[in-house]
Amino acid sequence: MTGVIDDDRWPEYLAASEDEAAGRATAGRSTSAVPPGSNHRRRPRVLARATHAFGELLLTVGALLLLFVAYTLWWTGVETGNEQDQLKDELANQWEQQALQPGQPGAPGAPGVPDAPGAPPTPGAPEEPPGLADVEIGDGVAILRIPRFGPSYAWAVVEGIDEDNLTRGPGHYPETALPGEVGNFAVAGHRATHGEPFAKFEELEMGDPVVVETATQWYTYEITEIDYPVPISSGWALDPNPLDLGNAPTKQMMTLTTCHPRWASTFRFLVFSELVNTTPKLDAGGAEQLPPALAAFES
Amino acid sequence: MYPWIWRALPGPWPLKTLLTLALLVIVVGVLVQFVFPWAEQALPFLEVTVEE
Repeated sequence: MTGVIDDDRWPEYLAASEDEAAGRATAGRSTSAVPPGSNHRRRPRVLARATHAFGELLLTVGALLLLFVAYTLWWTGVETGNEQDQLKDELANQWEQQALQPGQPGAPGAPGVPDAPGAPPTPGAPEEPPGLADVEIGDGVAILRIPRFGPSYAWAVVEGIDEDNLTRGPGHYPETALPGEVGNFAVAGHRATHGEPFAKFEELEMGDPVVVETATQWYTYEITEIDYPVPISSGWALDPNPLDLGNAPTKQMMTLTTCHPRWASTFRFLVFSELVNTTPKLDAGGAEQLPPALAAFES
Repeated sequence: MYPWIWRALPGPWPLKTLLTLALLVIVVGVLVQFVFPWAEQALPFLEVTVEE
């Protein structure tokens, strides 16, 4: 028994055990190799200590790596989920306040906003998109829905494409147009970890709708081109007229960018879409309505 | 290192266990808040933007 616990790194335990062993020895038969009361201490065992230290190092590194994997694959998603909840709350509050301001551009009945659901997109967008005049880095911009990914797929798009922004959700390239504007509403998003909003982009098909919700409007874009792999230096994708470079923008485009392949950033994955429908969130009578692309999810 | 920490912690073993758990929480907290976000920059799948 005492042979197992004679490690000199455990002096208190050792002392207690030796007392115990001594007690047992005097009480009955003495089978212990250690004479009772003897100071059973070995000379420092250099090799044993080195082995011990090396073992601890390996265990520590292993535990760190496992923790890091858990952090990357799981915890970043939890954090992004919390940030998304916060962004959506902020957007909801902001939109509510804007709805209370009369004469707000983009309010039902305001000029430049089609009244009928399913109306063709206005050729010239409103002068200023509703409620997005003073969006700052880190603000919520809009909510992005891709019906192919199900009714619960709704991502608050944040302004800015720095790592700090992208860990909170898909990020809007600040220099590019806003939803519904003529030009190119460009958004980058993670394809792996941090909530991975664009993880399943390879399942997208031409013609798929992508719906962008702003304070007052549902903008439905339709995918017109999917490009991958393309080089990292594909800055042309952010051009106001990305599919007809060099000509003045005439369409309301949206570009989504992410990495390709999914678990590497060697290339980029581009999804281009074009505005096909603008539906006010409130109809002429003030009742809430959904765009045709989301109608199937209405319960 | 670990036996040394165990010996350095005061009190009887239940207290030592409690303190060990507290230490673990602190260490994991620092890792998740500061170390991992920094280390993550070296991972290859976080660049999703196009450049000029």
